[in-house]
Amino acid sequence: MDLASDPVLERIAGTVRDGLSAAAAGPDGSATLAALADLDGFAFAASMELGGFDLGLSCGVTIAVELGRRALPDVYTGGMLVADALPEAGDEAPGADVAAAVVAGKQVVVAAGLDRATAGDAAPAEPSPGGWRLPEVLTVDDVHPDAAVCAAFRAGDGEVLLAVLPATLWRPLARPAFPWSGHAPSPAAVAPGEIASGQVIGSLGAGRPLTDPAGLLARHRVRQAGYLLGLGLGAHALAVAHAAGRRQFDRYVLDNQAVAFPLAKAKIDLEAARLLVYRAAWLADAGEPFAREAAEALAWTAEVTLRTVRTSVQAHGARGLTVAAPVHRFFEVVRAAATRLGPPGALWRESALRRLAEDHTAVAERQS
Amino acid sequence: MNFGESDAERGLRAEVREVLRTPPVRGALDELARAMAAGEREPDVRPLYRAIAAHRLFAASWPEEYGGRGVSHLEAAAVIEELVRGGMPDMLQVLSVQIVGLFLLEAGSPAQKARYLPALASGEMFATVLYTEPEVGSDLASLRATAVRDGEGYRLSGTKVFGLKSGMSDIGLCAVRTGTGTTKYEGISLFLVDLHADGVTRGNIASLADEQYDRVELDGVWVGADTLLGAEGEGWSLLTRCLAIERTGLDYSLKAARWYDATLSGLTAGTADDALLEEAGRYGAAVDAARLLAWNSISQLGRGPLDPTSAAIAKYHTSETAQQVAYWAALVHGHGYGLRGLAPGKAAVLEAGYREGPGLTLSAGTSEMMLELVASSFDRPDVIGGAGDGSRV
Ligand SMILES: Cc1cc2nc3c(=O)[nH]c(=O)nc-3n(C[C@H](O)[C@H](O)[C@H](O)COP(=O)(O)OP(=O)(O)OC[C@H]3O[C@@H](n4cnc5c(N)ncnc54)[C@H](O)[C@@H]3O)c2cc1C
Repeated sequence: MDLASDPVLERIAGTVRDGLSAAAAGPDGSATLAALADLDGFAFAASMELGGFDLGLSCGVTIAVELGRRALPDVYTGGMLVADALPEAGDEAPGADVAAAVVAGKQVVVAAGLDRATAGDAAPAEPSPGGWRLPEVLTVDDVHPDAAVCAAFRAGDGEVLLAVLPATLWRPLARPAFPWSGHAPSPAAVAPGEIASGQVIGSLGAGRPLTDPAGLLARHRVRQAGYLLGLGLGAHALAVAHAAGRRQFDRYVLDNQAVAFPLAKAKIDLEAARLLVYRAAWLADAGEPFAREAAEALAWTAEVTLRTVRTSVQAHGARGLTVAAPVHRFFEVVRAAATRLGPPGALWRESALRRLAEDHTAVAERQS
Repeated sequence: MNFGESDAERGLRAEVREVLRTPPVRGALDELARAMAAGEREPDVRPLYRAIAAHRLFAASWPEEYGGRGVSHLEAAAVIEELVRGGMPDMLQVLSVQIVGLFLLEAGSPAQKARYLPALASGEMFATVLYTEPEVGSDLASLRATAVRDGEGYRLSGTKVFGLKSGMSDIGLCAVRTGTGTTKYEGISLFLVDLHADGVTRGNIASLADEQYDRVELDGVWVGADTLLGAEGEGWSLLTRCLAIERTGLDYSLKAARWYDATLSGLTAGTADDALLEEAGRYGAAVDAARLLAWNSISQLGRGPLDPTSAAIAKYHTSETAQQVAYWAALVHGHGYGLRGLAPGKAAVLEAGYREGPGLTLSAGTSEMMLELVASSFDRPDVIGGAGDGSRV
């Protein structure tokens, strides 16, 4: 195991960061989409069959980190879920056109329903003549007016399926979550309705934890963890910069241990997050099992980033709650990002069950 | 970044497992287990170490001329992991090889290396660290022990406390003051003191942990000038370099993993409720992260000096995690570790871990000092957009 920083990924990170620097912050991801598309960012981690460069999940994570670092709307991870589900699809496959458009940077996809569907308590969709009838409202982050939705739903037999639904199916909620600032994407709702079997693009398997035969959920979790890691790093950098410049009691605020130590602790937790996230991505790229590592990378990063953002807002004083201080965006964005794929507690329980199973498998192997 | 195992690492691990099965090593391990079971808190590990050292596995990263195999720091870390997982208590090895030995490799003169390293690598000689004094802990640069010139050498005087394993050691890496300067960081010198010399008195200070603290009195102990490391009065910069080497976190990460595995061994999916499962997942990831952070700092070792901030991050997380796991284990397994039918051997591991845990966040630099180091590395003026280490991937 040699964990020296990877120069190729560092270069990609630098390129993406430079490219995104032009994108305006705010809930509308149009500028982010344009900036990322400009540098072919959607193609980096996608398969060659889809017109991508096949640089792997580690590269996809790196892009997600850079989006998070500036709390830009997540115009990326949902599309990559679709691209993962259809890596070799011919033109005929359902959703293939969407996957191709994603990789070309022409289509944003937002994922929905993964929290409920993975927790296992989602009401099953009723079979209907053309496919299924979605029984409940799904919420999505409204990051782009023409975003398609990649919806996870539980079929009657317990299998969790992914379907791509067009932009026309969802609508902004009547009351956006953050009407006062407008810096975080508002949730929108996908109304209960028909899903045609032709819209289904993949399966996350069945059972608890989900069998996830193609690793789609695990890959999506790792990218989400990357986005959260970026949010943590970005908020932390803002807090350090603010506390290093603000003077009270004739010294910099950062010169007090009560301010510096929580930020130091956050930095340590984020460094651990970085390694957990990139380990999961590396395992995926190496073709090794990585389901537990993916769940843990996401749960760890979600918790650490929530704490880091809170600490970072505190270090800003009252200014941190104002629209003038960019840290407030992180506070708004992190809540949805930390729970979109299920609350960390559920992920930890899943990881423990996997660990206990591994433990007993190892014991059984030794005994045999 | 490569999270996989190299062929060389895999080969060395397999070899270590073989060595652990050889009769001399197995016998020494059994003898240690017997002594522990009989209630000895600090049985003599030296016979075991010598049996392992006979295979040149004790200081594997050192050059062959000094008794090592010249393998990389990463490969040597794989050897240590495998030895510890196989039951080797590591404290004296950490002190002799991973701290004093590595320090000598970095900062010793050719003559010093030739004199001490082969003996340390073969387990013929052991070394300990003598920094802390009754009045001087975190603020090490304020140390008071002295060395004054006397003929061809120096005479050392002072009291060193809270070291470990001095009783089983032959030399001590000792920080003393040879002069004063405009700041307290000047005038500090480092010597390799023969612990068998006249004027050295070694004693114990009882502590909660199995490993007892030492008190080493130096009463005008004469040492030759050839035991001075680096230049006289310029020990502080050597010290700061050496302190980073102590902080890769590998030893702490192994304790965290050992205690976590012991805790989990008494659980099943059927007997753990949701709250317990949640903790088991969370601590499991923290233990994994501890190993990754330790390997992250070891990955730097071969490429130049170890960045003190990375080392502080690794030291903080690994030691805090190990300590938390030891406390958690006590809660999970309840009074006398008897709540869930834990095997007696595992219960003993966790019981000792509970008493060892508090020392981990103090030794080799306290957690507070690690946070200070991390905070002092914050890239203050141009952190936004600056490459800094924000771009490390
Ligand atoms: C298991 C173990 C093994 C050890 N092995 C060795 C060894 O081999 N050789 C050796 O020389 N020493 C050894 N030590 C001693 C160790 O290095 C010291 O305990 C350590 O340096 C702290 O010093 P102290 O105990 O005097 O605490 P103090 O320095 O008195 O500190 C007391 C508390 O105050 C905190 N504190 C101090 N200053 C600050 C500050 N500026 N800001 C915030 N908090 C602060 C500390 O973190 C600590 O929590 C060992 C200790 C232990 C527990």
